[in-house]
Amino acid sequence: MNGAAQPARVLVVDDDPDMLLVIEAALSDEGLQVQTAADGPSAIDLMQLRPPDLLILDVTLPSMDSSSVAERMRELRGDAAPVLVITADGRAAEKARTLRAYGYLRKPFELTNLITSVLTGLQR
Amino acid sequence: MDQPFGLGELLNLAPIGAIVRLFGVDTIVYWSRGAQELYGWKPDEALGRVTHSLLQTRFPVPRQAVDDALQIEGHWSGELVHTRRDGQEVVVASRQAVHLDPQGSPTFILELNTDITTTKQLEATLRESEERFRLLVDNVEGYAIYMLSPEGSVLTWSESARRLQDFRPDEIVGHNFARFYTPEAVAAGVPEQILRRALTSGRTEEEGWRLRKDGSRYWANSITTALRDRSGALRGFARITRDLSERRDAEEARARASREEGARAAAEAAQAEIRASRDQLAAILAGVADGITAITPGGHILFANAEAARLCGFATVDEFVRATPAEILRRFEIFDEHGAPFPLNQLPTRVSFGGHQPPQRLLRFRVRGGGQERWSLVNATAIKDEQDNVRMAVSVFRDVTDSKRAEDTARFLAAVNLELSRSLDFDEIPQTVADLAVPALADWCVVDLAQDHTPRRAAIAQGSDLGQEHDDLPDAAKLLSAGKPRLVETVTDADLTPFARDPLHMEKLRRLQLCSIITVPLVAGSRVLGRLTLLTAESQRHLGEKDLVTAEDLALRAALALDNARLYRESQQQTEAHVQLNRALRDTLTQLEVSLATRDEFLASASHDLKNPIASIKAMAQLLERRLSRTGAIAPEQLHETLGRINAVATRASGQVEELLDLTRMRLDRPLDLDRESVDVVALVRDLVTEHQQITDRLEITFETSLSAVEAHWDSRRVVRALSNVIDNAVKYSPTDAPVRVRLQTAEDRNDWVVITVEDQGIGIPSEDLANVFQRFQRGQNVIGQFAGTGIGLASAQHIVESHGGTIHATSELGVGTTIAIHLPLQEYAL
Repeated sequence: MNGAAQPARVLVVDDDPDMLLVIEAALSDEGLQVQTAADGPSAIDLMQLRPPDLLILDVTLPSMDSSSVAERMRELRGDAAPVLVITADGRAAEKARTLRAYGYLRKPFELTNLITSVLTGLQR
Repeated sequence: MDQPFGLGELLNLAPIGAIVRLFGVDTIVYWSRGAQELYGWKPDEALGRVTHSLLQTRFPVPRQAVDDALQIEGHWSGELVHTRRDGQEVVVASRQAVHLDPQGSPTFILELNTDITTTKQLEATLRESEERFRLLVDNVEGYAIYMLSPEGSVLTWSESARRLQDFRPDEIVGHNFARFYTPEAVAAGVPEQILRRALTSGRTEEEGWRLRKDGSRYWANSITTALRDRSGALRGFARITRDLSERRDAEEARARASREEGARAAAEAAQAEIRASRDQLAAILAGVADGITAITPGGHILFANAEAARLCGFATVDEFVRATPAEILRRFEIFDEHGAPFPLNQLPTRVSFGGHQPPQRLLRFRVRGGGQERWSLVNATAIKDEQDNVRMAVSVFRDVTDSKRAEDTARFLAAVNLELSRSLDFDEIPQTVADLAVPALADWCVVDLAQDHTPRRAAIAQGSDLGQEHDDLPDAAKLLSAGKPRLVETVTDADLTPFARDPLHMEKLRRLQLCSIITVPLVAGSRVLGRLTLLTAESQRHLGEKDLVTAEDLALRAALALDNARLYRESQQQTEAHVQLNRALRDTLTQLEVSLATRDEFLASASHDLKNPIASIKAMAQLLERRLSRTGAIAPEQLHETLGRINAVATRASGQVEELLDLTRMRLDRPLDLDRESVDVVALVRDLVTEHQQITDRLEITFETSLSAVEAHWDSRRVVRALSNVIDNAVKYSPTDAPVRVRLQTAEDRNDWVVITVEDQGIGIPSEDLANVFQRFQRGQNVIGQFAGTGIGLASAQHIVESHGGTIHATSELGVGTTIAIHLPLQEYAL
């Protein structure tokens, strides 16, 4: 936990609006400040405005390569910026390695695992 | 053993013995079909053997010289004698060339051997005819004809010599001819003087006593001629001795009579003697196969035999003898052996009148006004009286036309074989053939081919350019329909008519002043490939039966060469067809691989799409659980909202499952089981556009229609899915801020149909991919690897539209955009 002074900011990027809603609700319940984006360009716009502390990235995004979102995150928050990959794709581990994510979750996932992973990521 | 050249099959086609042997060791590594035919050995018997031991080669020069030529010059050609498998010897014209590897080291020797045994046999025939002449000489009564060595030893001894002088060949051959002379003559050195005189003047004649074997004497006349070879070296002497005993007796009697009865009686007797002598000579020479004439310097023919009359174009000896020299000469055109006009003052008979011994001449002559050309060997000898005045010239004509023709034909056909074996180019062969035929056979040669039943003049060769139009020649189509081989020795208008296209063309044909025509079909197997036609005009040469035979020989070879070339070309084309087939197969395989890859991608994507709603439902359920366990209770409105969302996601997932099932039906080519209901098309499309606009803010999706409400009877969920797929595609392939326009209108030609168009300003579809755009798992080449996708959306849309009885079309321009137009009937109707 990052203390009471300033809640940690998490940006969730996924093209499934239902998934965005449920993640936003679950992480808000944990006291985190959550922003959501349905595609790469809007995610990058949000990051420029206020760089998040952690990025949750669905790697099968339309239009824009998810790697450019992850890259932008590193430019803004340094090389060790925490990126968590969620995907329905079978090659989740490989994609996580490519994006240099600290962890990944395969859809459908246990909500507890998501929360634990995010909290772990924020403590790094 | 492998054949070392891909050339092998090609060499197999050539009608010559082609052999490839390893350089240095001469082991045979290639043995063509022609070689098998020539020598009788099959490839498995010949391969691996050493060429010259297998064929028992006899070289015309030391073998080392052949090997040196191959090593230094890279090639050698000459005549070889080989022994066939059946033990028969064949004479071949052999051409050999060394093949170098890329480093320039010799690897193989290619050997092409053409059978020239026939030519050699013709030469042997000529020798045989000389032998026959010798036999004739042997049988002439009263002559001894024999040969002496340069030193004067007897070399040959003829039967006639035996009869005259009694010696058997084994008793006299090897002995000096001085033995025939009296001891007094030998003591006076007569034999040596005779040889010296013959050596210096070429020929000497003497009369005197000779001895028979038993020592008895007889009076004889001898002619001794020095024999020299082409280089001028003395080979020996020929001796012709005639027993003059009877004449001597007659002369002695005449002298007596002269003394006793006076000059008048003596003259009568002399004339009688001359008559007798002439009659005797005539009797001897009448049956000789050569033409023989005796002519006085004044041109009076003293004697001619039947053959001489025939050769000069007279029916009988009497007719010939009555003719004046001018009359006789006017009848002929005379050429030297190369075809140049021959000056009359050099005719051997004329030269001999001048007292000189003329050289033997090979002459060509032709009876003026349309005779065939003949070849003759002409010799003449002057007969002088005691005062050394020329009294007559005896000329001997040997008609060598047949052997000369045979030799020329053999040489010509050998050249034809060689030329034609060089080419497998179908288009080149007709001209090669025509060029070979002119001027050897005729003044003109045309080759017409009947390919695909269309007459075509494939080649023309002409001996001299006299400005004729090629179009004036006999018509190709007419010639091709002429059928059997035809010979027209002397052309008349009636002969030309069948070859004329029309009266105008007939006039042109006449103007060519054709002399002879030979036209023969080119037949290979049972196929008539075309026609070879020979024409003579300006040379005034009349073609005959023998020329027809030669033309047929040429046509046979030409047809075989054409057939070979055709087969070769066909095999090439087959190879080309195979290459194309392979390419097509490879393309199909590549396409299949791409399709399979996109299908895998589709399955991955489909399972991903299904996992998303499941993941959402699962996460929502767990969220509720967490909140419940954390706070003990959940606000009813919160619970209501989340449960509603779960319900909606599950509905979407079920729609996705249904879509997957539809796709399976589509794959099995089964129509959809439509769930039709009444629906307002305007509302349906408008809602759909709104929904899509909510998902993206990258670009604007506009909806245009002039209709307020249109009722349709559709499976609305599926139509929505079809339209969704089309709009999704338009959005996906459009740049940001390039609007997508959706329009709805009634069909132009009928108001119970609607047209829905979706127009984008995206990247477009390459024209070569446009036809496949509705195929399953087919995607444009410009999007593979650039955009995620499965290639299923448009295929699925088409399936749905067509299940409703509608159509879907795409028009596109690269870089400008794509428009998809969907035509749908509002009601279900029976097809």
